[in-house]
Amino acid sequence: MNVITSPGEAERQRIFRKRAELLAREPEQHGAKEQQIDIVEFILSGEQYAIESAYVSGVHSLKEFTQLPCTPPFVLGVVNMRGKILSVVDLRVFFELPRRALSDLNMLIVLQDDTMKFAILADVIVGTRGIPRTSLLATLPTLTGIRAEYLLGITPERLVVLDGGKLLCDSSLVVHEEV
Amino acid sequence: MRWTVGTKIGGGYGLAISILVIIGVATYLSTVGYMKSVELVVHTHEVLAAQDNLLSSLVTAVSGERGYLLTGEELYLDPYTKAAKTIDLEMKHLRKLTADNKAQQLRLDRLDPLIAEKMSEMKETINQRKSKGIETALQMLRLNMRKKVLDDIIKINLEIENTESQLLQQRSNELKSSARITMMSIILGIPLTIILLSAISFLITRNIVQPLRDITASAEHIAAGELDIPALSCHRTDEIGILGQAFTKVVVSLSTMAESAEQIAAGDLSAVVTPLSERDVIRTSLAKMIISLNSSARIARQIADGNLAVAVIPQSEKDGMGNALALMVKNLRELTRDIIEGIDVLAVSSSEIIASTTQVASGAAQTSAAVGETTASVEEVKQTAMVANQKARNVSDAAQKTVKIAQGGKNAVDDSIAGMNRIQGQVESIAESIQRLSEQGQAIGRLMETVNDLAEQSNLLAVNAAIEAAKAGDHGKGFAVVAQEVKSLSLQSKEATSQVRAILNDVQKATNAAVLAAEQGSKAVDEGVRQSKEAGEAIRLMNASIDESAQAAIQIAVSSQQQVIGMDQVALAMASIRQASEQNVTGMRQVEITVQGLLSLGQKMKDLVAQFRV
Repeated sequence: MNVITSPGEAERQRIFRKRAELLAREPEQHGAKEQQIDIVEFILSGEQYAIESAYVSGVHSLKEFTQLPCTPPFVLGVVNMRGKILSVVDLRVFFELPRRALSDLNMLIVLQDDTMKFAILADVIVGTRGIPRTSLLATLPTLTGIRAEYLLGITPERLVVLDGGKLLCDSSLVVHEEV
Repeated sequence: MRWTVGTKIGGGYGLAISILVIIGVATYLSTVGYMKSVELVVHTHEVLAAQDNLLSSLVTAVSGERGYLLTGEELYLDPYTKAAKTIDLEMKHLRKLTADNKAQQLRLDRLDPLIAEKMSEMKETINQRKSKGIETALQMLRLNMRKKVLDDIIKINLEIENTESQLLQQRSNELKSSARITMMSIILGIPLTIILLSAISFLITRNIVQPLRDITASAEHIAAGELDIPALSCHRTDEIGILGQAFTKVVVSLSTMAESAEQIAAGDLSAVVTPLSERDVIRTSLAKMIISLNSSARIARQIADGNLAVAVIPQSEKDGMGNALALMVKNLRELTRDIIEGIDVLAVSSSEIIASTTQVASGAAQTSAAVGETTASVEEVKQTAMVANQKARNVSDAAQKTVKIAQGGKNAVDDSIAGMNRIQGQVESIAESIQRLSEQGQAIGRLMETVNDLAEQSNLLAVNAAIEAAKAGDHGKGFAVVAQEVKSLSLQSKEATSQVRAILNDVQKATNAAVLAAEQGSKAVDEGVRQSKEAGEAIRLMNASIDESAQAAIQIAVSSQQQVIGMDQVALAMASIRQASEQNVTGMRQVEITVQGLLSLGQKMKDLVAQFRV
């Protein structure tokens, strides 16, 4: 049976050493600073996606949301985020990914620029990291349509990086409907 | 008194009849006189009534006339005309009634013209009233009133009435005296007759009935068998005297017969009784009785001499004496035969008894020897019984110990039941504790959820911090490191929580197993309690049966003790039996001698019986 105890001296040392190594690592392409971009990496329906940190205002967990009637399927609903009402966009609709049931673990990534602010749905937030802009490959021929439209590039680790600026500027996401 | 009884009774009845005739004649005569007087009185009353009727008719005629004069109505003439018709008849009737009285006839002669005058006078007055009216009639009436004819008539009538009243008084007196005479003759005559007849009947009764009573009493005495009666008076010559003499003869005859019967009853059969005549039944019977008794006596004497072969012939079936003698002879014969047979049997039996006695004597000697052996055996049995008694005591002691041990076993079982109950309680409390532990584990699980949530939040915070740091550019580099550190911490927390959760799951499983085990333990303890109770019951039953065994062992010990005592008594009894059997031997010898005597007695009786000829 496992017993919860304070980590032993060896374990402590091991952890500390690991952190020290991590800190001591040389940042990648330290010289090409301007070509470096920071991204927020997340998982959506089992696929890894990322988005530029510059367009991300914050990440939050999806506690509760309100469905809006008479909206297109990609609009999940609205949420109350620190007193501001944000619309939630489900990217799975655009990317034709399987829609699983929502859970408490679902996350929201709030996108913001000078004109627009909304949230997109994510399953798990993996974290943030920086990647060299040059490492981004052009779009794959398999990605067509709207996917290709929102795509910024694909890393060698098959990470799909979305273009936050395009998402924010896309007027097709603006719902203006009267019933 | 020379008169016979018949003459006396006849004279008495004659006197009574003549007195009755005298009283009857006297009463008849006085009654006839009385009736005559009654007739005369009735006649006088008739005369008075006729005279009264005459006067009243006259008065009626006068009043009718006056009525007519006053009113002039013919209705008032009716009484007058009726009275005028009857007056003549009544006058004649009065004359006829007083035909035997001269003085009254003379008065009637005087009365006749006066009445005729009065009647004619009234007739004239009525005629005057009819023809000339009331004034002339009244004048005439006033004229007639002065003549006093009516007063004369009333005066003569009063005289007649007075004379008849005097006559009535005289005749009433005669009637009373006649009635008194009749009464006197009845009142005096009947008691006198009763006294006279009583005296006569008394005399006759005394003279006839008393001697008859005396004779009747004597006859009753004789009927009762008493012959010493007083002599009757025989000096009278009438029928009673003759009856008395005949009675005296009867008494004398009976006395002589009684003497003869007394002689026979005394056994003197030599008495001679000669009948007075052929018809003298009693004396003939007495003579026959003497003969019969003599023959019976002869037979009895022969029987006494031992001649049982004598023939006894009863005179008839009713001959009690003869039948009894015949029966006696018959019975004596049978008796004698039986005695002879009995004596034979006695002789044989005596011989057999002697033989038996000898055998018995030898048997008694054997018995004595056997009793000696038995006494020895009894002693051995006694020793055995004592050993058995000792053993029984040991068994009893052992049983007592067993009882105590069983009691201890019972207590132990009770203690174990109590212990089981305690264990049950404790197992239940353990189960409860484990239950609580499980609940607390679940609470920890919930806490771990919270911690997990916190780690998640921390992770998010770290990401947000990293984003902010990236936005800050080069100035945010250090902050990005901190964010990275926070992120790694949150990941560690998450790992730790997952470990805790795994451990908690294990704990939960373990507690569930413990709860199940506790429940099974509780059931096992229940079973143990039940089995302990059964064991206790078994031990209790065992205890009871051990108690019974102990009781039985004690009883066995007691009874074996009694057996030892009984064997002692048997030994004593055997000694007594031995003594008695020795005495038996001695007694049997004496019996042998006695039976020898019996044998000789039988021989003697045989000789005696041989005297009888059967």
